Amino acid sequence: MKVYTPFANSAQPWSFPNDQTASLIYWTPTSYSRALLYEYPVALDAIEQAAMSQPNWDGFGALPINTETKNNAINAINSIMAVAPAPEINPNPNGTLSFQWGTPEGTAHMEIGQTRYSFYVSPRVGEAILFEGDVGSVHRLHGGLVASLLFPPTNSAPTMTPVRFGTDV
Amino acid sequence: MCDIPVPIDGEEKIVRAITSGSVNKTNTAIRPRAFRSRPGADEVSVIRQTFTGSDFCKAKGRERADYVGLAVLHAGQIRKAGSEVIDSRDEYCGHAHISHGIVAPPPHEPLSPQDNLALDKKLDALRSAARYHPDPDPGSEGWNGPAL
Repeated sequence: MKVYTPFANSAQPWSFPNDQTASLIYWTPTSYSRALLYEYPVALDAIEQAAMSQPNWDGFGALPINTETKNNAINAINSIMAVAPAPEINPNPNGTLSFQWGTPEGTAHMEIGQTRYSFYVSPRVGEAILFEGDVGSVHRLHGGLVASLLFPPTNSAPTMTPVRFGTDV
Repeated sequence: MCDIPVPIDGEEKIVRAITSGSVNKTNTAIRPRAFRSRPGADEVSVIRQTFTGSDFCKAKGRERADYVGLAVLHAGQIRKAGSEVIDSRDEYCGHAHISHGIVAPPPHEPLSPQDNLALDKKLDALRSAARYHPDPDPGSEGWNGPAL
């Protein structure tokens, strides 16, 4: 009898019980709230547009976004959007860029500067989570917090896909 | 000589000149950053409309690049949001400052997360309280929009 094994080189080949066939149930992962592919160029364009602003762009003495801050923002957005939805991107009068999210579940804000970043996520219920540090340390973790606290997975019925394997084929 | 009283009553109308960088794309709503301080300071310039009138507010607004309209709120609403509004007649008679009580960071660097959290709550409250009036004709002299 041929025995199916999903582990080609395993020392202990895995086999089905004696009934020759078996049903496996695969559960789809919970909803995953990363940015969609088409949102990347939109976000990067928003950063580029902000970086082209002139001094005094707000009429009240705002600083322009410099090249270092722009590059930091691009690196940060690529990390974050791998795991979180696209934020609203805005320049600040101080020459920094802000990424902001808002849902009925709460708000989050990451501000990117020339050498430093600051970040908070403030859920509707519970304490705010705060981070700050060197701008190079912006990580997917920040996006993960945004995704899990502000965009929780919906409780839809999971998809079940029965798979039958035949033996002695 | 400025004969406007220095204390600002809660019912006084306070106007912020709005520029294109602080509104949405359709110029129908202001963004929270309309009330964010200028670099290196904890001061947002505003005008005491109750004493100066709408035409004066517009004239001051037109001194700014890309002026597009005026946002109005009462002094009491500013204080309710957790900020302060203080007469600053050294700029000109009728000028005031909104102060959020947050120390400005060095240029090109972010606020601390604690300060950003506190500031965002204040800016959102101010944005919600303010009535924004897009100027129907920013290039003309005198305010021709609805009564402020």
